Amino acid sequence: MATSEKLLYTCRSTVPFRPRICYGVALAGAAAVTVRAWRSSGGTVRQAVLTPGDAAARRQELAESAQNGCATVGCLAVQDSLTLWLNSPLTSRAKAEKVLPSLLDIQLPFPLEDCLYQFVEFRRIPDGTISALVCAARREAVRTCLDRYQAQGDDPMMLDHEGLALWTQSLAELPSEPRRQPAPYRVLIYLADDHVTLVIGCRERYGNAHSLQMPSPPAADDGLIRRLQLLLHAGLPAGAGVQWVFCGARAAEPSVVETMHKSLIKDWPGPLTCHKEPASFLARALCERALKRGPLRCNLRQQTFTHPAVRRAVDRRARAAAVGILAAGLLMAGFSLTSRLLGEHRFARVKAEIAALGAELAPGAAIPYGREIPEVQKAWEKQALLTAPFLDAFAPLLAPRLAEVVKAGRASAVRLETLNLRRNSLVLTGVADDWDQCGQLEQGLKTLGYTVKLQRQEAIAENEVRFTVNAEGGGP
Amino acid sequence: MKPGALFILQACALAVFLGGILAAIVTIRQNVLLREKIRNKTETLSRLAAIKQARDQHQAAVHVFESLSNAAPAALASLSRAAVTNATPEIREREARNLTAGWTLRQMEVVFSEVDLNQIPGFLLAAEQERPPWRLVECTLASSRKADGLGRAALIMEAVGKGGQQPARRSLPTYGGAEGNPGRGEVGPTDGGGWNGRQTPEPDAGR
Repeated sequence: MATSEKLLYTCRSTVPFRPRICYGVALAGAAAVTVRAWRSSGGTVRQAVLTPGDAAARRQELAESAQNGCATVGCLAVQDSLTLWLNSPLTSRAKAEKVLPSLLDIQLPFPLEDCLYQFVEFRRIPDGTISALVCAARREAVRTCLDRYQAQGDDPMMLDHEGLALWTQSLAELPSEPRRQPAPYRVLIYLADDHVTLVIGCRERYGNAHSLQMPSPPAADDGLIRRLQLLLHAGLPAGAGVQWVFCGARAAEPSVVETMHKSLIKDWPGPLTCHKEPASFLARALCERALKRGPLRCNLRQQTFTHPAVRRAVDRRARAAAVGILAAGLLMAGFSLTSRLLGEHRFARVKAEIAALGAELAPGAAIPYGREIPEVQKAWEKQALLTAPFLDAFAPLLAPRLAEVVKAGRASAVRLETLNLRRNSLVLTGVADDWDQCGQLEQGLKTLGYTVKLQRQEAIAENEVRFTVNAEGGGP
Repeated sequence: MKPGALFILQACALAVFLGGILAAIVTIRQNVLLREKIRNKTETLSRLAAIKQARDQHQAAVHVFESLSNAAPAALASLSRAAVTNATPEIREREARNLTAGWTLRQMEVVFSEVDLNQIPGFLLAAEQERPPWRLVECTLASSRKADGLGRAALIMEAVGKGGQQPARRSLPTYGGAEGNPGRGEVGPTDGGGWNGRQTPEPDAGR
């Protein structure tokens, strides 16, 4: 049994809804063990074994609350089904999935069309190819199993596989030691009243399951031990260390368990462990697997055998998905339409504002679309000529500037001969006693904000310096 | 639900979803173009708004003038008599232009031949404090060689007003101190309106 494999896929849920309450029913001969399990809001699963009277009341409750997340789970016995690891020569899982049914068909002693099957786990084995665990059962076996449940008054929504259920529950209650070397094998022996189920695995990898009829009394029958040893020789290397785990109704009898353990450890030494409450172990396993997601989930009640409640749930899920997609499409279309309408509304509003403003600014003018700015500008330029002098009246006055220029001339002690002042220009001529006095005047005018161009003429016949100032800017 | 009905629902859902995606793509592409058009129009609108703001300022200025009790500018001859002693200016109209709502812009040239130049600022101040005001447009001063402080002053002044003479199309002959505003007396009390702080009038609210 290879242990250095990579897990690619394991089926973690088979129910199309999440039940909050679950009834696990394990058939043992003519009797049934029923466990009621419920999931609390924190996700913890609690369980209680029902007495036969409780089970009768439960059926009534189940009938009333079938729509309220309540599920019943049964299982197909190992003797009525099979689990098988199929090795495909392909390295691609998608491609392997296509050929695996054909490989299964080759392995089966009956036509594939006559059976129901489910691939529950895919692993990549060391050579890179894909190995898949398939769980299968004949349609007839499924029908018979359902009939047996219905004879008990039950109609399980799901039919799990006994071997897979026992294995995962054993791992849940007694987790394997992943770092232990060499890899510890685990053999789970389920001792029911009417049969013995043997599940072999290594660490968390499920190997295979076998079923034997239970003799009565079992301890006195060496044939059972011999048959078990035969099966184990096929699945276990000789002398390998094995963790022996017992459960089932008869596991509560220490003499039976010890006798079997003593016989088996001769070839495969290993400690003995018994699960708590062994009688309800399988029913607990069924509940746990239905209520919680986990590895190796399986439901063989498929196709024509699908429970109506499951079919309705699948329909509901498909309908909800379709409605969701429909709503998403409608929302996208709605948002698109709204966005477009809003954009066009905004565009129309801006256009209307432009038209209104254009009509207000250029009354009487016919403004072609898109020519608002030139037309309005033209109209405004005409109008501005008539109104600009009113606004000019509020501009800063020129008289104070005249006073400032005269003051600057006095401060620099020059004599001004002519002065011409306009809003943005100034021309001065005059004489100064000193060359530097003109510079002072120039500085004073710059202080007033003018850009000054000063021309001085050298004194020839007289001592005075004649100057001309051309100043720009600096207007009030 | 019947399988056929579920299939129809799923097909419809898929069709609507694909339609929604298609509509979204088309809308996104159209919205890009529309956004560009809106941006251009918004720019046009903001430029028109700027023109409107300028027009409102002009109109607010006109309104200030309209609110004056007396719309005729003061006579420059009277003002010169009050502000300048021993000099009589030559006053002539350089230009007159019709403005809006019956208002006229008049540009006058005031020439003092031999005047104490120190009195010119007082004259200008008095003229500019009038309502409506006279505004100095150009000032040319030339000192005299005869005496310090004396000189020739040529002032170009303009005012917006109503009433008085109709604007002339060309320059008129010299008034010689008798400017045509017989109803206007000497420098009157200043109007309390928007000129005190020389602030540009704000456009009316809502404009």
